[in-house]
Order: sequence, then structure tokens, then C-alpha cells
Amino acid sequence: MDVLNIQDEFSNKTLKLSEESFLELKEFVYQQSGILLSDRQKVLLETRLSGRLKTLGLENFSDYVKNLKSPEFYHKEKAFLFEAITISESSFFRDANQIRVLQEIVLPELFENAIQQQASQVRILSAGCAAGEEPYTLAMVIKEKFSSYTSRIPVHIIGVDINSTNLEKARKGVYHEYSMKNIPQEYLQKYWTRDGYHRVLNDEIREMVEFKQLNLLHLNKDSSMSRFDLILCCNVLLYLERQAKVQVVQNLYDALNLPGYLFIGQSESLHGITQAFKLYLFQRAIAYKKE
Amino acid sequence: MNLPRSIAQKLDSIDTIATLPNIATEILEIMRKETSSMREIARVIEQDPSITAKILKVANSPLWGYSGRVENIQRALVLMGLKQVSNIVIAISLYSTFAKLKPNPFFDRKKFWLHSVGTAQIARKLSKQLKVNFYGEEFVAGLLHDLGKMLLDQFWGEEFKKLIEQARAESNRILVKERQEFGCTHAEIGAYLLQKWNFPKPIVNVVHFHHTPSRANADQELIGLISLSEMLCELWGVGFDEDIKSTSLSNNWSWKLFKSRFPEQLRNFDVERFLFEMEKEMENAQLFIELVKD
Ligand SMILES: C[S@@+](CC[C@H](N)C(=O)[O-])C[C@H]1O[C@@H](n2cnc3c(N)ncnc32)[C@H](O)[C@@H]1O
Repeated sequence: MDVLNIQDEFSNKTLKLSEESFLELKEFVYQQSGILLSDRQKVLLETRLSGRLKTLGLENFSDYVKNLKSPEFYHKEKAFLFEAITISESSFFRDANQIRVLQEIVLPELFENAIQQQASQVRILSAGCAAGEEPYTLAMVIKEKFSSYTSRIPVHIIGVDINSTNLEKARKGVYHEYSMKNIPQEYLQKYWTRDGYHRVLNDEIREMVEFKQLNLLHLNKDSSMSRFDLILCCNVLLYLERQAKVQVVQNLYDALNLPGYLFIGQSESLHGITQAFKLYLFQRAIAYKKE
Repeated sequence: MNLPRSIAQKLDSIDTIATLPNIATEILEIMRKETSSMREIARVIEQDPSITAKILKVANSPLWGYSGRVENIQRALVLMGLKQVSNIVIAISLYSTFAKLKPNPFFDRKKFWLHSVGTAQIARKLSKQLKVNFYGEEFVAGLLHDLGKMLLDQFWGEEFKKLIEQARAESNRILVKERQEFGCTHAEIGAYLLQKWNFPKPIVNVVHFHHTPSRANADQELIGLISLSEMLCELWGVGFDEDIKSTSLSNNWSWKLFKSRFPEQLRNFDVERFLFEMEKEMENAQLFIELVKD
């Protein structure tokens, strides 16, 4: 064993991602998924993907990036890659900036609007809701901060996902603590009870959300999936091929009220996918508005 | 610039800001001439070893990206261009002048500079992406756009502090409050001083109109650029009491101006990506501050 190998042992066999390969990977991921990797994620990718490269029998990242450019390889690899970028799993209060903007600006505007227009309800869709983390987060925020509105106009929150296992879990409302680390203390105390290592969401929040199994590609075929004032579709579009993405975004547009907001995930972009929306910039959050 | 008399008088009477740093005055003078020679500018800059060192540091840093290639001012002038270098010199000399002033405790100086340099950086990046050359004026203009705020803080500290607190309590715009209390805004105060210092008209105009770009009848592109950059800095970088909470680009005056003037560049402009990469510009702003501080 030579000196180099011994050093490798010490560095835990982490492969280095050269600046060049990283830029190439960043460009590729952005083109494919609309997700922009930040420079900080370089080290993260090194630690997370080194093992994966080994499993694939690849010796360096440059080969990995080259392989990704073959559609068949990419198709199979996507899940691993996105898991390494930590967008695959969901959690409560995932994007603090988005929640702040919803709470301070968008939800008040939507409630005021709906009341003024004498609408029968405010409708919210969580598209690709995983195990309910996202729609329940909204439900808690609305319960906590918007009771003066909800006493005047009902809110209907719907979560849809393609994956029925996810939805089963969502309906149960039982979670492991790791998806809950961002939940503010006051919410935990008010809306949750403990059961061993798990936490159980109270009925009053669970009852605020309706779940439905559905492929977003076919959202337009379900007439109940319409007239939403707000749609969250976070960290979902990145999995779709371009054409499917265009279709889903069109479906979401059609499912929105006028005016209505679409929010997507942090560092996700719809550039080049649609021109239908108006882009709204908030403090560290973006929204696409139908108006 | 029509400032209320008492305000103008006070600004005129203060020694520390009565004149610009020598080097900036001289550079501005040379730049005003029809033909300014490289040798002339190099001579002026080299007389000030501290500024010279800072310029070289900035030029060789990732900010300007000439890593290791700029060993002297002549080289900087050749590689970067006369105007660009001159504008950086002015920016740096002003930064050092103002960095010496003592802020009031409530005025967050660090944040102020990050906001100012951040706006300057964003303006640079934006002009690069739009492929519109402002010859470094965008950097000085960005750096100075809120100069008036620092002046208000320095010389009307008590009143300014009260005003900001009131604006917050009433959730009123600080700009509106400034007009009520002082009869003018920080934009006009900053522009007044720069005009007195004989700054090029475009820079004076940017400072004057950065909150009211539609009222300007000259230098609209530069004003629009800074106004937009400041807004982006407020929303995605470091804000400084501008109470901007949201904006729709398609209703934004500056954005609309760019769309009509540079339709080709704007069509493919990836706004989202520009925002996501803004963190980098804020890091660059921090780096600039590190490089030029004494
Ligand atoms: C990474 S999770 C995002 C969960 C949540 N929105 C968040 O941001 O935390 C992606 C979810 O989208 C769902 N999904 C993917 N493609 C879908 C489709 N075509 N229709 C409906 N759901 C889909 C997946 O089942 C998964 O639960």
C-alpha cells in the first residue's frame, strides 16, 4: 500500500469534485431540473456521492458527470442524485422564507381578496404533498395566525400526491422527530402530542387537510382540482422531464383562480418553462402569479 | 438641486465633507477633460500608495478576476480601461473617507456598507449580463446611492433616528417621512453633496432619482440599473430600511425600461438564476469591504 492510499483511508475515501466537474454538474442539473446548486453544496455532494460512485464502479466525478448525460443513466440515477442534494425528503416548515412571505403578505392578501369578492372559500393546493408535511404546515400557520379570517371565510386545503403510501402516512398524522425539527415550539405544544419516538398531530389540524391520490400530469382531468387561490408545488417539478414539466405547470396555471399564486421550491426555477405567470419577488422568495 | 436652505447651509458648513479626498478630485478633473491620458491618471493614483495598493488588491481579487496579472497601475489601466479604473479609485477613496466618520449607535454601519457595496456589485453583474457597458459608473453609483442616509445620520442624528422609529411605528415609508421632516429626502441630500463635489452628472442623477426613476429625464438606463439593483439587494441581499417587501418585475419601471431598450438581452434573461446567484455577489461585496479597509 503506498502513501497515497493511506491518505485516502484517512480522508474516509471521499472523492474530490473538481471545480470544473462541479460547474459542469451544476449546469447539467439546472438544465435538467431547474434546480441551481450553490457552491456550498460542493462538499456536501462529495461526501454524499462518493459512496455512490464506488457502488457504480466509477473512479472520479468527471466520469460520473459524463455518464449523467446519457438519458438512460440519468433516469436511473436521478433519485440518488436528488437525495444527495437533499430535496427528496419533506419536512415541516421546510422553507422559512417562503413561510414568512406566505404569512406576512400572500395569505393576508388572499383572505382579504376572497372576503371582498364574497368568495365561498379560500382554496389551497399542496401539489406533491409527500406525507403531508407541507399542507399541515400551512394548516398550522392558518390556525395559529389567521383565525380572525377563518371565522369569516372557510379554508379548504387539499394535498395531492402520486404515491399512495405517502398519503396513507399523511392521513395518519404520525411523524418521526427528524422531519419536525423546524416546527416552532409554540406549534409543537399546541398541536402535537408525543407517543414514544413519534409525535401525533392533533385532529383539529388533521381535519383541515383533505388528501387525494393524483398524478399532477392529469390534474386537468379532475374538475374538483380547480379554482385554487394558492398552489404550492415544491420540489416536485425537478423530477419531471421537460415536456411533462411544461404540462404540469400548465395544469397548475389552469387550476388557479384569477388572481392566484404558485410557489415552487427554494432554488427551483421555471425559467424557460412558462411565460404565463407574472414573476413576483419577495424577500428571498419567488412567486408566480396568475393575474 | 433644491434643498431647504437650512439643510443646504448645514451641509456647506461642515469641514469633513467640504472637500473630496484630493485623489478623487484630481481624477474627476482629468476625466472631465476631452482627452485624458493614461500617464496622467497613473501618476495621480501612484502618488497615493495606500489607494494604489488597494486598487491592485481589488483588481487581482476574484471581484475583478485579474488574479495575479495586475502588478502595477499601468497594467490595471491597460487591462481594465481608464474609466473603469478611475471609477474604482473614486469609489475606494470615498469609501475610506466615509468609513472614518463615526456613526450613531442606532445606525448599523456594517449593514449600510453591505447594502451599498452589494448594490454596486449587483449593478455590475447586471450590466455585464445585459451587455451594457457603463464603464464602472455603475459601481460608483451603486456605492453612493444612499450617501444621503449617512449624511442624515451624521449631521441630523437625533432627528433621523426619531424619524425612522416613527416610520416603523406608523408603517409609513421612510422616504415620505423624510420629506415631511426635512423637506427633502436622502436622495436629494446625497445628490446635492455630489454635485457640489463636481461629480459627473450621471452619478448625481442616479443618487437623486434612484427612488423616483420615472422622473429623470437623462441617464435613465444607469438610474434604472441602480434602482433595480438596489431593489434586488433589498429583497435578496442586505436591506437597509427601504421597506421594500415585494415587487412584480413586470410592473417595475426600470425593468420595463430595460425591456424596451434591450429586448434581445431581456428575453433570455434568467431572473431566477440571477437571484439564486446573488448570494455570491453579497460575498463579493463583503470581500470588497475587506480589501479596501485600512
Ligand atoms: C421531494 S417530495 C416534495 C414534498 C414537499 N412538496 C416538499 O417540498 O417538502 C416530492 C413529492 O412529489 C410527488 N410526485 C412526484 N411526481 C408526481 C406527480 N407526477 N404527481 C403527483 N405527485 C408527484 C412524490 O411522490 C413526492 O412525494
